Amino acid sequence: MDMKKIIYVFALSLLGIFSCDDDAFLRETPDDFLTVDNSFLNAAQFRAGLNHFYAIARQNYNFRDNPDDFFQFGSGTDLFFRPTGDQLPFTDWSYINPTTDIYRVVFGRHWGLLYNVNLLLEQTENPLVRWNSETEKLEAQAEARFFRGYVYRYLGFMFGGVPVLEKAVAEPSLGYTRNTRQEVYEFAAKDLEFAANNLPTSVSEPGRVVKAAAYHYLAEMYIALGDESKNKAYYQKAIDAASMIIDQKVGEYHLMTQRHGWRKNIAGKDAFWDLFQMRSTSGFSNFSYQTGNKESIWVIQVDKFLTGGLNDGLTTRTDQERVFWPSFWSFQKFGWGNVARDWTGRGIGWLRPTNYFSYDLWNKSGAGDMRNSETNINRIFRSPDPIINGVEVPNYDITYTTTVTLANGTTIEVKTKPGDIIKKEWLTTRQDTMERAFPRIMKLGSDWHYAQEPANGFVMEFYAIRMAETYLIRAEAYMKNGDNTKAAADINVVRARSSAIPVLPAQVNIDYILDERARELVGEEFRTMTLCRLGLLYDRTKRFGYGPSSLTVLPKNNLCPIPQSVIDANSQAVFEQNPGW
Amino acid sequence: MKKSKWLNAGNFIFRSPGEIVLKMKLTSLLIFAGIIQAIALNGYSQSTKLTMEFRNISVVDALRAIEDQSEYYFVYNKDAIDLERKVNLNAKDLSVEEILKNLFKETNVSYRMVDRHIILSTLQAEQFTLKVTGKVTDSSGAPLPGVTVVVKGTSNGIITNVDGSYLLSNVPSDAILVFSFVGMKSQEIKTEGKTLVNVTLEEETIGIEEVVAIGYGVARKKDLTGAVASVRLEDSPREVLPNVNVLDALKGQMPGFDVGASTNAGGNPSINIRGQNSIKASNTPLVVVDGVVYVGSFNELNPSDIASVDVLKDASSAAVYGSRAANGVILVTTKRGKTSKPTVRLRATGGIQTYTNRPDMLDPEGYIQIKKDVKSLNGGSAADLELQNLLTIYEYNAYNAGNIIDWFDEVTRIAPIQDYQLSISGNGEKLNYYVSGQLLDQEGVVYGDQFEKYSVNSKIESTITDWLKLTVNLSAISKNADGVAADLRNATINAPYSWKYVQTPGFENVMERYPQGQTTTQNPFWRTQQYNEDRNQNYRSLFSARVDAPWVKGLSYTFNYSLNRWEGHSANFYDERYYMDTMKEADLKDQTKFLKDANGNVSNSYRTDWFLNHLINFNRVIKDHSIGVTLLAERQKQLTRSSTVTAKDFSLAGTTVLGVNALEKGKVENRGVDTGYSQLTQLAYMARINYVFKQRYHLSSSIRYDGYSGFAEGNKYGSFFSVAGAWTMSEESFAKDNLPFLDYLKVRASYGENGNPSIGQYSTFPSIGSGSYIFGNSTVSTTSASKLANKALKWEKTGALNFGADFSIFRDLFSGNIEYYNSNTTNLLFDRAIPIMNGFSNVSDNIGKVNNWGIEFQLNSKNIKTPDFTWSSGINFWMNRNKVVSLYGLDGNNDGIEDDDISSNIFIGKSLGAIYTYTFDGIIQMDDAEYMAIYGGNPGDVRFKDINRDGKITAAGDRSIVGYSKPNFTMTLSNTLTYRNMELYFLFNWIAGSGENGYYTGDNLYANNPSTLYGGGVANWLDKEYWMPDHPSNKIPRPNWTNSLGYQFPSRRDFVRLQDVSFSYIFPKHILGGTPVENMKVFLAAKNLLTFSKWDGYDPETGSQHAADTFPVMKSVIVGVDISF
Repeated sequence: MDMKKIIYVFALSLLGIFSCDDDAFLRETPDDFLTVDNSFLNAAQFRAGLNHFYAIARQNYNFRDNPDDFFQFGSGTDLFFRPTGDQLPFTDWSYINPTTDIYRVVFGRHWGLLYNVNLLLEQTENPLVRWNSETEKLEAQAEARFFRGYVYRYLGFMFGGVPVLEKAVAEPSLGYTRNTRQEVYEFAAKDLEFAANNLPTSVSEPGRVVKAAAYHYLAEMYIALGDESKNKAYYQKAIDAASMIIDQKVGEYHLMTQRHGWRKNIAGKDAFWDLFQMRSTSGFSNFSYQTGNKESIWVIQVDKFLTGGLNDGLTTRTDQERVFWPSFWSFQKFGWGNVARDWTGRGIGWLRPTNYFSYDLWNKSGAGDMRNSETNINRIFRSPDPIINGVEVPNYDITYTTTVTLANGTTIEVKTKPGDIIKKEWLTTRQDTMERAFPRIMKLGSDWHYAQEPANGFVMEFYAIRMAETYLIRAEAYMKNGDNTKAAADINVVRARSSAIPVLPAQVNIDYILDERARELVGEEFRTMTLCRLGLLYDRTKRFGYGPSSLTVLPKNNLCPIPQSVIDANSQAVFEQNPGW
Repeated sequence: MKKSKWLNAGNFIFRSPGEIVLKMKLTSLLIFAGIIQAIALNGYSQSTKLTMEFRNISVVDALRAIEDQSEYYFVYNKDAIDLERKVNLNAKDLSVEEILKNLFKETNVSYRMVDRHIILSTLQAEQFTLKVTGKVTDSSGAPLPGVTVVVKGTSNGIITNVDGSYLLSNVPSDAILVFSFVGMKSQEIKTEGKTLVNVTLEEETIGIEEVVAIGYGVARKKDLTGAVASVRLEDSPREVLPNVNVLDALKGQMPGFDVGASTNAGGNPSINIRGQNSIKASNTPLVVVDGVVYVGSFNELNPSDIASVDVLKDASSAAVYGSRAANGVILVTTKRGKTSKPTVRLRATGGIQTYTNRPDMLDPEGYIQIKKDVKSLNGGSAADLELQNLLTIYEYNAYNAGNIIDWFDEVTRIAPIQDYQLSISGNGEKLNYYVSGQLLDQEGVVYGDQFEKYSVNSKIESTITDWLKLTVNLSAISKNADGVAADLRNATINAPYSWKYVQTPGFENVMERYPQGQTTTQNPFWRTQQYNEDRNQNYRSLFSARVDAPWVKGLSYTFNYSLNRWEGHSANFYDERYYMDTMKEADLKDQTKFLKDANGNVSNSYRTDWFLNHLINFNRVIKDHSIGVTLLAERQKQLTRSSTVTAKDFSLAGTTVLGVNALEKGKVENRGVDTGYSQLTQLAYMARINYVFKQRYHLSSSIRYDGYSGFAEGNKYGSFFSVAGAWTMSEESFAKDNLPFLDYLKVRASYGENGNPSIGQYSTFPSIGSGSYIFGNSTVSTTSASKLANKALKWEKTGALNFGADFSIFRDLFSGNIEYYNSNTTNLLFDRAIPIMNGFSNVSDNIGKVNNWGIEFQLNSKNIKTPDFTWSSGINFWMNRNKVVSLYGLDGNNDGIEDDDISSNIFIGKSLGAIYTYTFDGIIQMDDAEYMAIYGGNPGDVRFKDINRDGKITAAGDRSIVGYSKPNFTMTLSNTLTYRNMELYFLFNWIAGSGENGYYTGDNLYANNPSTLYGGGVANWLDKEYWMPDHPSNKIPRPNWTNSLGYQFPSRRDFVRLQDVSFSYIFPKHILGGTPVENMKVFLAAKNLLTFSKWDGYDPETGSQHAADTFPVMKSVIVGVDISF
């Protein structure tokens, strides 16, 4: 007995144990998800990849339920501020710094988008792809490059020069350096030119980008290039690009001067008001080119009831009304009882228009402007009808009694009936004037709500590009090109629709254009981005901003800070911070 | 049969080495030691001389006196021998035999020595006798040779042979057999006329004689070469503590083994062994239950079914588990039957639980004041400060009505817990069985938190033939954690002036959703109304067969196969009422408009795991050499399948009365389906060799080869080795001669390497995720890259060195061990931060190196030991120091020092868990004009130190490491006191922080910044002084401060806690006499009774802040009874 026997038994048992195929046992195949290798092989798959870009762009409009997230609509600038205290971020610019989270969010969002755009572009050249036609492939590339232009437009305008990346990152780098702002603009312009040439003129799906959208951004980008390079030739290119739209070479675009849409028969309203009506319960959109709104160039799609209709994580509503509208419904006086009604919406006044917007802007441009009518900017607040048994009862005879401490300290009893105007002198608390009763920009909300539910029943589309802006872009290009007459003519097309008195060529300057943009595009355009593009955020805020904003804004605010996390992570090269931060 | 050889033996053992092959490695060592002792004792009985003098004492006391002075103990039948007879004992240098001869002269008592036993018996007439045979095995089923088997009260005895079997003649039909063996508990079995009596002996648990699990086998603690910490739960005072989870029972027991705190019903505390090796990969140890890798949750194990837990702390012991052992291994051994008579044991406990700490909020007046303060700081006018303008309508009405609510009291409760356990076990001739059932019903401290568990567990071992043994374990567990708990965040911050129920007439029974009349703070109970199911069932099985090769002695083959099935079921439903706004009368009256929002989901997942291994063991003793070899092949597979269905919008159905059971009533377009499938496979081969020379020099080594499916091709395999040695110094003659106080001393050294698979399955694929968007009225799908893939991902490897010593001095008065370890983990899996320009802000990579070293110390003392009173203590101390040695190896700024990864909060040369932030420098006061001129800000803001003195407070220049989340050290102190039938046990736990490095620091924003969570503006805050112009605090900023730098207010969280207290009373036998009850114990026990800490939050140990939506740590008190018959 003996080692021999033992070894024999061992060997035998080992044989039994080792005989299976280890490699086959450990092989791994992705069974319930797709990978890059099988995700881009036909047009339908590319379509899904392209759709993602739209979903990301939508996040710029409505992402997290946080007041800072709406900074790009102009928080802390000449148009808006956060009103609940004077020492809040943006209202007080000294509370803004490179760790302010929203910069990380928006900066990161666009680089994430860029990665997917570049990945998809790369895959369009994969020989395994079954394209139906060369046009199909070119259109897919054009749509992708539109979004690459969109990314660099956003980053270049907001943050200045950033790295220009033409390919999806294969090997991650920690050593990025910044290209110049001009290089970024040139790169974006190239993409937008390709998109303008190869996108379809029209599409059946509302919300998909078309040639006109590319030309619009291209015009704006040429202006930025002209400003940055001091090469005036770009202004003419800008004029030409905008003219493609205005001259109807890429679609039947025109301003909507007549009543239109599914609520066009509602009396007392106007064509401007019709532009901003929520989608009907049956799904009719006033925002769509496809349903007859020829002013509409690119619309961010939302819907309360469709899967994919709202951003992930914010599944009940969009936020325009909540952010921009005052919370007059939450008065606890003059008959109001802190209950939002279907027709009041449920604003909470996260952003309040500055006095410059509310008053000076309109005084400067003369009376009779439809956009400043009570229909479009509600400035009069009244005692409401009572709610009895949960229902608002009209024509009910009731008198509300409110004790009011006037500014001079005296106390009076105010008696009002439904419909009576609430007088300004009765609104003596800071909360009254800052949060509850300020001019209500009607296009940013709705007088009716899905399921009569004022909070979560509000879901409204966003214009990313509306033709009125195309005119103002071209006006800016004409002005910068030295042709104030044509600039004034373009501005007056926009003003004429609102029955505003025409501007004279001599009055046209960048301030006038910015004022006009505010009158026309408030709450639609990314005001902060426009001001950063022009390098005027500091100047305009200093002159027209809310007191604390005006006192704290600094020239460095003309660009957003590079997020600190980017500088920290880019350890193998210095990623320059913007000046002054 | 070879019994006669053994019986006749004296020196037989070395006579024929080739034939004396011992069975299992454990057994071999046990018997080897046992026999040596037996031989030594023969000499001992001749040489030992005793001296004693007693007058008029009872026989029993005389015997005790002899036992005290010698190593003998007596075995006798107390009915047969007159123990109370008074004798005089006068011995001077007499051998025991002579003394006994003296003591029992003129009686019919004879004596006989076997091993250390002296068997006393009365000469009696030969009656009806039998031949009894049987086999003695240890708890692992290995035969035990050398066991003394004696007919109780006689000198008739024998020793088991190499197979563990014995044959005993002349056994009276009503005899009691006594089985005894060194290191094992003696057992008495009534023969009751049987001729076959098989016995399993249990290991004795005292000190170094203890037998511990070592992975793919067991070993005597004496023979260990690595650092293994063991806790025996069976029959310990910790058994009666209210430990819902077995981890609670282990907490504080083993140096180097950190167990977190339990906060919710059925909760699993966190665990960590010897510091943080991994940054991102799991730091959770591998768990092995009865030899099978455990894939379930700890709360599925019934603490009462567990006999002991062994933790393989050092790399050499863990290395047999190779790729998965980098974080240590926890081996759980469940109970077995012990006596041939079936034992029924019932344990019932009931008790209450509450929180350890609650937030101290501002009282109603304080709430009004902070609101006023915020308002005035925000520029409010005098009118703003009037109560009717300051408060919401709801608050104002509550104020006028005097309606004040303490929300924290509302949502917390004195929560009951009940636990019933029943077990039936026995150890028959061919069958050992243990069957148990448990019913646990636990409510959490927070309303809505509950946990219910039913489990059945059976373990059956049968000896089919003398070479084949089969084991079958089956268990079924059903858990239920239905329901959603109330929201403790809102319960903390909600204002005292508020309403729990709707005030609108006619709806007074409806819960108010917005108690303060605004939507920012909600009723903490609101979400408890949602329908929620959270259940799972777990079916486990283990089949094991062991074959002892009949023709090669010492060789055995074991096959283990385990099949587990886990089913998880969850369901949620939010009906239309959930969406109503109770502030609106219209909503109260009619919620049908919210049918559009009503939604639900049902999710089912199934997981099937199988695990199998083949084990070959070979053990052999040749003279002074003892060799053990283990070979292993192992495979494991896990398949998971899941499906979820969702539905939304029930307006067409018009009702949600059927709820989650009829999701098909939801709108077609809004139904969703999600299915999932995944599998994970692993395999391993392992070889281990143990070698012992002369019981003093121990060597062991292992190598393991692992495969893991989660890695990409080319990286799937890894190998891991270990080597260890130990030297029992106390066995050397120089120690015996010169250090008489030293009972035992062993020094150990080991090195081993282990892995951590670090990634889950499919992690190396560039996966594409999907979502949806719309164009017009059509939903479209979207796809996008989910991550940057890295095919190069591989194992994290930890190589660790361990030095240890085990000691026992002054006849076990003090015993314990000390360990030092130093480990390096390389190829750390890490989501390294990359600039977002890459498209993603991180990518998984294996990179860098982390070092951990630590010291562990365990000291047990038997302070007092008298027949009536004993007092023993245990002190455990452990500390760990962690250091990131390297990361990416990059030096971008060319300063010659590797770059930190600031964005991931990792610093070269510093511990993980660094808190890198600004330095708090008080509060800006009204007269700090100079500071404000330079840095901006306003009075009442936090003032930060300008560390780089550049006139700005910036993230780039003014952050530094201000502390670490890791503890400085941990220490526990336990005491066990027994007096007659009473036993008191308590344990203090101290996690120390501070030191100049700021150890054990945690972020504590809420308690230091009143504006966190709307405090003062909308919600209430803590009753603490904050900065105001008229009471300028220098610690807490003004209540409307904007924390624009995101400062988190790091604070110390060290604490001392009276963690465990138990008191038990065991009923004496004479009280139980006449009842069928054999044993009965009643007990009172408590956990977390007292906590001492400066931390201002729910609990220092969890580090959770007030107003976090988590649960507080539980304090519990229970009473219970444990009966067996």
